[in-house]
Amino acid sequence: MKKLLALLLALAMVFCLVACGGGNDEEPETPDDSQGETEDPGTDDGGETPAGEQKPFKYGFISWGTADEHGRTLAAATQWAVEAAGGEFVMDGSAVSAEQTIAAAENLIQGGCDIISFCTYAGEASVPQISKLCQENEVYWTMWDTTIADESIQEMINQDPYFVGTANEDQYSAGYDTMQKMAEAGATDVIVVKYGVNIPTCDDRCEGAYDAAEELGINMLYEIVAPEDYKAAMQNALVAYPEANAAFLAGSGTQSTAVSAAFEEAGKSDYVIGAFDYFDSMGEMLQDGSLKVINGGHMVTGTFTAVMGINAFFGTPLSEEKYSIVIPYLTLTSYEDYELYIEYASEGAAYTSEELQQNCFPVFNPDVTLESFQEFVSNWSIEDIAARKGAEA
Amino acid sequence: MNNKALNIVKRVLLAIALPAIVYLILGIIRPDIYFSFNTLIMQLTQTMKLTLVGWAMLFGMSVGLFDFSVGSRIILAGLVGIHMSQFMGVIGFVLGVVVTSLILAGITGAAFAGLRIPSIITGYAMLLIFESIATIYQKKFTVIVTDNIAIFGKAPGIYVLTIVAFVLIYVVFNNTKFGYQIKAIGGNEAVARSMGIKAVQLKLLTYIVGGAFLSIAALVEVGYTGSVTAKTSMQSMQSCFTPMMGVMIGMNLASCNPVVGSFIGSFCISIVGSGLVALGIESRLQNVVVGLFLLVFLGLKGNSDRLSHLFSRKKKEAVNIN
Repeated sequence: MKKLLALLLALAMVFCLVACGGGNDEEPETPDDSQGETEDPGTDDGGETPAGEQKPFKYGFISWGTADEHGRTLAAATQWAVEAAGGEFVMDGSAVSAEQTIAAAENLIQGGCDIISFCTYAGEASVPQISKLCQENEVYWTMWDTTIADESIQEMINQDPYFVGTANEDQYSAGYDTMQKMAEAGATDVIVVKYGVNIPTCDDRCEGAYDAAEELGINMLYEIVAPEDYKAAMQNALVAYPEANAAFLAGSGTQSTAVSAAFEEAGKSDYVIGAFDYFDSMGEMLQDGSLKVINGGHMVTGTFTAVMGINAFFGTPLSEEKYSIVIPYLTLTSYEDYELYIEYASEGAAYTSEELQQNCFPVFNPDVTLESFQEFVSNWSIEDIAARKGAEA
Repeated sequence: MNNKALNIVKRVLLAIALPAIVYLILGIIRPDIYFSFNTLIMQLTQTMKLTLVGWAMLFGMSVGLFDFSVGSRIILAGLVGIHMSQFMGVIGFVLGVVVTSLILAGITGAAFAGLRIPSIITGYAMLLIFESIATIYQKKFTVIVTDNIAIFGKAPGIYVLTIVAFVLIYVVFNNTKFGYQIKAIGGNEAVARSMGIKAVQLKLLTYIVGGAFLSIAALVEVGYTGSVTAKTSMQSMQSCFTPMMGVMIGMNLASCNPVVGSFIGSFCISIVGSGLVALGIESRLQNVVVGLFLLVFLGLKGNSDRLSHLFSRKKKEAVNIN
């Protein structure tokens, strides 16, 4: 009996040692490893059945809040994807600085989120810390409206198995196209208004605008950076540069009203404003001609980064590598464009759950590939919305 | 009588000397811009907006209160006013702004007086609350500033409101028991208390009276910028810094009343800001220069006795050597 007991104890000890030591002998399981074990679920070979599965999840979304049109629609558009995939949406809208972005990520992870997404509009300083947090807690993450400028940060997150990728607009082209449209509307001497410093999104838009201006022979007179009072800053610029007849707002479109007021009070009635980021009174301004070009509608950056993160969580990533997708802006140049946007994208859901399931999620449609997904994303335009909703663009 | 008149002229000249010198320097550098009537009017208009906020803070600052919730109160009052204007036109706008501003000022003052928390902490706490309420509230309606309610922020509306506010605040600050008590508390609170002035009640009153003047500032702000956007995470605090600097300059201008001084201080800041743009200086450096301007001015003012003592000593030494 004693021998049997000793044998059982010895076996139990051996079993414990094997169990404890196993972790040291093998590489820790990472999402990439698990993806490898489950085989490519149809990223390159669309005919195979995805190995992943739809499962319950909590999706954490970080932004500056929902007070403005862009913040509100961004949160709503992210929910389109989360709901289409059957998840729970949780939002932290307090992130207006890099520190607060990190705090928001901590809160959401503590709150049980399986996937989080954020943007680096407050600077890239938050990225390394969030990457670390996500690795420690095995939470997938993506970044919307973001292209990392710092190479060391990019290298670091490329090693993070839980980082899926980014979605961003082609900021340079958008800035270039906006300046081109402004030139067509009569802009010759432009004041540039930047909403922040060292923010790649803002800088890229301006770079595109400057290049277009150089090619088109437009004078870029002065650069206002993150003013406390947009109207006063614009008034001062108009005093110093009375020849100015246009303003390029690289963001914070809501300040178009203040910039327009500065032009009006300077006695200028024929001016051109081109701006980024939708705002409440843009319809009125497009109608009365005080706003010529407004870029926005990139709330779908939230939708598509959610798709990327959710697919990774389901075990059906669209690529084994980190990847970025490019989203077009909805550029409005008339009141008719604005009406379409309001009806079908702002107040309604631009995509139905079924459209998203069939075009974005391999668990619902095994034929979805990264290429087909990018093509679906690239179609985003006023014309595309009108066609899908059966309206006239 | 002649001496009195001469004294008044001397004080007026001393009061306008600071902005006049700053303006003159800029005029010499860019005469095409600064020796223009339109530019002067524009600078004055910008100054009025800042001064109205500064005047609303003057009562509190005079008794040592620093309330950073002012910006969030302007935003929330502006939003309520705009919303009410969609039902009742201009009357709704004015009622919405004035009543909301008074209520918010009353709540802030009551929190300060009731809880006996330092004004800065109370201001921060109320700012966070008001910002959050404004953010939630803004989603309930479309924020559009129509031309009829924008009149208060444009000429001549802004001039009329500024003049009305000036007359009112000048009388309240200089010719009422409330004004005298404020000065007494600001001068020496312990002595004022021993004279029977109820400091806490008086400070509560400064919030409410300041709130009344802040409603005028909010009426102007909405029309001036043509929009109101809720801000979060203390971003609304920015809007009280520049007016506060103007008041600080005003309170340190010995030659004139703080009410007039606040206007002069704000005017100086406006001109410096504008001048930097006119000189093509990168706009990111503007705050640095405005900050330095304030430091130099207050530094010189605060150390005027030491400086005059230093100069007189050197003068004596030079005389002795000779």
